[in-house]
Parts: sequence; C-alpha cells; structure tokens
Amino acid sequence: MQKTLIICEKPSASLHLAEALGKPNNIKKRIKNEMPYYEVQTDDQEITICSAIGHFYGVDSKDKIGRNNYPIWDYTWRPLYEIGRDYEKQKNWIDNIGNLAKECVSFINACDYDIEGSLIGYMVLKYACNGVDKIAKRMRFSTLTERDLKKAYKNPDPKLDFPMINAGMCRHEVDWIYGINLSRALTESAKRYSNRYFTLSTGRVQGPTLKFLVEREKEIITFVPVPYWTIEACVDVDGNLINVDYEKEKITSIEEAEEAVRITKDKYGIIDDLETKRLNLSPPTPFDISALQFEAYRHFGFTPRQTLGLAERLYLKALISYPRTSSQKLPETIDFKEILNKIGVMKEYEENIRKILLKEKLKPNEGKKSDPAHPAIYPTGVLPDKLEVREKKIFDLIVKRFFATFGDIAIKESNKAVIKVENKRLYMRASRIIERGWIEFYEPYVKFDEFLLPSIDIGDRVKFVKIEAEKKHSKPPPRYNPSSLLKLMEKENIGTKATRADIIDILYRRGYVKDERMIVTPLAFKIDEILTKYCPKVMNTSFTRELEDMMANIESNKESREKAVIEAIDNLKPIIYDLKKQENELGKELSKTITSMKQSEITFDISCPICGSRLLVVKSRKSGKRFIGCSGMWENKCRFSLPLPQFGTLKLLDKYCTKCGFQIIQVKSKGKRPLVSCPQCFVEKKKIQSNFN
Amino acid sequence: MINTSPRFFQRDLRGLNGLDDICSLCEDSVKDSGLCSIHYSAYKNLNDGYEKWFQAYGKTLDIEEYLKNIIELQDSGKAVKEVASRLLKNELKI
Repeated sequence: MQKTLIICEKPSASLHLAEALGKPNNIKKRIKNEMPYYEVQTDDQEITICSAIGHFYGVDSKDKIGRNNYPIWDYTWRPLYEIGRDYEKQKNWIDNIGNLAKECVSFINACDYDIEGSLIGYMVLKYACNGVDKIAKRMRFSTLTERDLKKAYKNPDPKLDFPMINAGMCRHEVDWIYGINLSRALTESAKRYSNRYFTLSTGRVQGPTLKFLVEREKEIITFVPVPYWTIEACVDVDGNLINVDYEKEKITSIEEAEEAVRITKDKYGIIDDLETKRLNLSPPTPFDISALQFEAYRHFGFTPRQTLGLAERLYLKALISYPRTSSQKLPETIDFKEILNKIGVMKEYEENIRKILLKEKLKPNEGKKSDPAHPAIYPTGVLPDKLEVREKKIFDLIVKRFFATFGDIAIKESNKAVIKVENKRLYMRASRIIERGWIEFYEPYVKFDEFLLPSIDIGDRVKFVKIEAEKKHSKPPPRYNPSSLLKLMEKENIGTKATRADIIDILYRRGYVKDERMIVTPLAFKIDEILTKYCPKVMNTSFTRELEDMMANIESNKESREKAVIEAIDNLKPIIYDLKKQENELGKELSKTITSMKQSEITFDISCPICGSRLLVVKSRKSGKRFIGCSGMWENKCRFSLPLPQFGTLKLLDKYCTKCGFQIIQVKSKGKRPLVSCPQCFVEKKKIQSNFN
Repeated sequence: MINTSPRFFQRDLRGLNGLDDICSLCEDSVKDSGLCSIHYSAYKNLNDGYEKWFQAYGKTLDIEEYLKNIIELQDSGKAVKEVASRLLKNELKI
C-alpha cells in the first residue's frame, strides 16, 4: 500500500491532523527519541504524520570564521544544531524524520500556510528527506478543525509554494546578513576599544524601529510646556447643574480667559439654538492580528508578543482560525451559521447568538485589508475546554468581535444647545445611543458615555452658577508602548506580522528601552546617533520599506530571490567597510556610554546620609560579597554601609521607601517572585528582631 | 525692571565646565553654543517657548519667573529643566 509522509509545523498540529484523517481505533501514536509521530490507516492509504518544532535550519556563514570577525558575505543554510548550542535535541528529530521518509513515496507539507510554515516544511523535505521537495505537495488550511483538515488533505496543491518559500529564504538571508554585520560592527568596535564584551545589535528593521523611539524620546525630553486656559462653566436648568463648554477649547492668553469669565459670571444666558445630529457607527471589522494585538493591549494590557502567543495556543487547540493574518475579510465559504450554532451551546453567548441568528442573511462587515493566505481571525465553533485565564480573555474577545461584525449599524444621537451671553457662546452637549446595533454584541469591549439634555427651548434663560478660568499646560507627546509601536511599524510597513513583536522584544533585551512605557536608555540614544552618523541609510524607514516591497515581489513571483539578495548586499557593503574604518572612533563612543550606563545601574539616586557622597553597590574583594557602600570612603573616611541579598540579579528601582525615603531595590531569582525591599528598613527590622531575641 | 531681553537666550555656554568640546551639561560632544544636540534643542525650545509664555501672561513675564515655572512643571522635558537651571544660575551672576 502507498505510504505518505505529512510534515506539520508543531506536534499539537500533527495530533489534530491524525485525529482528522483517521478513526480513533486506527491511529497509532509512536515516540522515537522523544519525537511523537502518528501512523494512520485509511481505506486506501497508510499515512505517517510527524512534525517539526519550529525552524530546524537557519542561515550561517559559509566558512567557520569565528564570532569576532566581520564582514561576512558568504552564507549557507545549516541545521540549527550545527549553529547554536540550544538545538542539540533537533539532530535526533531530523534523523527520525529522514528515516520515516525512506519508507514513504509521497510527501505533503502541512505546516502553517504562511512564509515561515512554507519554509519550515520545504527545508525539512529538502534536507532531512533527501530532496523530496520536488515531488512534495502542499496542504492549505486556516483552521485545525476536522472539516478543514480533511478538505485540505483531499485537495492539496500539486507542488510546494515556491514563491512563498523564496520570499522566506530571502527575508532570512537578508536579515541575517544585515544583522550579523551591523551588530558585529557595533559589538566588536566596543569590545576592541574597551576589552569588555557587551552585546549590541541592530538590523534592517530594528534600526528604524529604534529611531522612532529615539525621536519620540527627544521630543519628550526637550519639551517646553506652554500655558493655556480652559473655561470651566456650569449652568442651572430647573435645579440641575449641567456642565457647558466655552466656544474655544483652549484660550492662549490670560487676558482673554479673564474676559470670558467677567462677561458670563452671575449672568443669564439665552438658548440661541438647538442642534441634533445622528451618527451611524458601523460594526467593527473582523480581527487581523494587529487589531487583535491592539485591542488585547487596550483591554487586558497584554503585549503584542503575549497576545500572539495566546492566539497561537488557541489556534493549536483548534478554537480559532490561523492568527498570523493581515486579512479583515471572512469569505462566504465559512459556514457562519454552523459556527454560531456550535458556540451557542455556551451559556454566556447563547442570548447574543439567538439574536444574530434571527437575521435573514449573515454577512460580516469586512475591512479593506486582505491576505492571500488566510481569512481574518474567527472562532471555529470548537468548544473550549480548560482554558487558562489569559487564553479565556483572548477567546472571549475574538468571539465577541466575530459576533459584532454581523451586527447592525448603531446610531448615536448628539444634541447641542447653544447658549449666548453678550458676544460669547457656550455649548451644552449630550449624546446617547438610540440604536444599539452591534454594540450589544461587543460589550464590555465598547463603551459610550450617555447623557441627556434637559427639557429646554430656544429663548429659554439659564443661569451661570459657576464659571472659572483654569490654567493648564500643554503636554508632551506620549511615549510609545509595545502596542502603539507595533501599530506604527505596521503603518510604516516595516517588518512583518510575524516579526514585529519579536523586534520589540529584542529592544528590551538589549537594554535599549525599559518599562512598559518604553523609556529610551542612553545606550539607545548612542546607537541611534552612531548609526545615523555613519550609516544613515540603514536607519531610514524608506530603505527598509523598499526591501519589504522587494520581498513582496518575490512572493508574487515578480522578482528573483538571488537578484534581491545581491542588491541588498551591494547596498550594505560600503556601509560596513566604512564602519570598519571608523572602528576605533565608534568603540570609544560606545564604550563611554556603556560604562556610564553600567555605572548608573549600580549608583543610588540618594546620597550617603552621613557624608552626602554617592552610594554604590560594591563587591568586597576579600569576601566577594556585595553591599551598599559610600563613595566617600576614601576621601571622607565615611564608613556607611548596608548589607544586600547575595542571591539573584539586583536592580535599583525608581521607587523610594515611604517610611525612610531610601531607594528601593529589587532582586530577581529564576523561578521565584522578585523580592522588592528597602535596604535601610530591612536592617532596622533585623535590629529590632535581634533585640527581642 | 523685568528682564525680557532676547539676548538672554543668545549666549554661548561654551566652556562653562572648563571644556570646549564637551557639553556644559552632560558628557556628550558639543553641537552648538557649547551644548550637545539634545541640550541645544532644549535650549532652542526654551527660547521659542518664552515668546509664547510672554504673550500668554500679557507681556509681563520675567525670564527668571519663566525659568522657575519651567523647572517646577512636571511635564517639562528633563533636558529642558537642566538647561533652565543652568540659565537661572548664570542669570543670577549677570
């Protein structure tokens, strides 16, 4: 009997596929060297289903030239276990797949249908299965439901999706060449100058992303607030006090503000006009990954990377469709009614689903964005079982958004009463939702403040009971957070839906930004300054965007991968040679910043309570123990010191003890909750305890 | 008499720290008027801001008062506060 080997992207996907293609009594689970795989017997075929565990192959330098050398222009694809230390397990896995392939005559790539999935499957078929990529087929599906998987298995593409594979290879190759050369130029310059190693990195997308952050931080730290005044006014209508807005939102001079108060104070205003407007609020579009990440951050505070991870978990449980999509469209081929009927079993959705199903035709409100590979994110109708709290939140958000797209237009009514006093106008505003439409399906993720106007007519008199000019100052632009930065990257078309969240994560890991509000560190300023000075092209968004367009052209078969990579290398070569020439200068500038950053990490903001010198984290040469010491020890012979915990990573926080004012410290140990404490109060507590004992 | 002279903001702060090529306020290299690029931007914004504050307060605002306000405001940029403090100290010497 003919035997087929199917490659999935992850073990959980291979289990779903086995369950979809076989019957419970003819699925055999096998485990070889920790690798699970399934043997499925159908009426006319034997199928072996195995999986990769993400990427098995990566780009590496063609010749082994050591970690400290650059530039590197020659590259090759190698198994990751030959490149890095953390991939040893993959060797057995690759060998196992190779052995399984020897027994098979036909092959299918069933990895996720996107650039990365196409590439993962292709590499396994080409290298682990001895070049069977040429005869392999491709399964395309957007959910891991039985129906979709069966359909995809019965109608596979006759060959692999080579344009997508080429686009993926090109992205990996170009990103590797840019990343390795630019990052080594920075790291090595600093190391050769100071003889100390500190990982610095930049890349094709990382550089321009960092620039967005640095530019915003510059605006904030050089911001000068400007005063303005607002008029806070209140009128009495039949004993009800109602806030009204002055005709100008902001008044730029104190004279004008005082005049507005003088004219209206203790006066009666006349209702001069009444206006009513109705506004149609369209239902939201189905979620693409960016919109889901944005909403999840807004409502739950999840970072884009966390949301992506949670959504992928829901996809692997077959609860939602493939989440890495940029589509806002839900094709009619999806059986919406069936999905709604299935979810309708869940009590919390029952009532809304009943209302939606009353509609004659189920047509979602689609957005403009589309994705050739996948539809927008939607629930599959499979019911969740044992979801963790965060998964539950994302699932609920996706389900309710799906419902809302079928809702009717909501109508908001806005009323405005114009109050005239001499030559000044003030406005009494109100608004309410008169047709709830889709809003009822998307609650609590949508909220409107509703307020009704009192019963008034044109010509009525209203008394001003409060009128004050309030001084305010303009605010600096807000810092980016991971969600707003992701949105900006998408708007500027840099990176892809699959890579943006990782790039943001790297910025944190490199110490370029800190905190949720993405405060830019001095090191990031220096990296930006150096790269802008020595290789402005790399920091330019349009340059990165050109490369993205080039890769999109490869995906649509309009450009060759080889040409694109050669062009990218030709662009980078003069930049790297120039950086190499200036290595000493570069190293000097970077080392200075790294040293001062390291210094600030161990220097307390508060001064020594005895001599006023700086307090530092010091390591004793004798005992090797760390403690808080005074920098005035040599000059002033100050003996002030406090003990510190000897375990974990120490961090000085921007927080101060409410009792004694000393700077708070945090100690993080792997697998434990961080310890946050005041070193001074800790000692006092110990003293009291020992006195009692 | 209140000090509203535009010349206040046209001074060269070069060498205030004894070094000509290092910013008077940080250890970065000098871009203009003795300041690094960040502190120079802050300095320029302070200069532009004064005109707006001056108009807002009916042309009666002293530069010293303006700088004190800027230092006290929470939303003033860090670099702006550093430049304002330096200008204020220097102003007292004039």
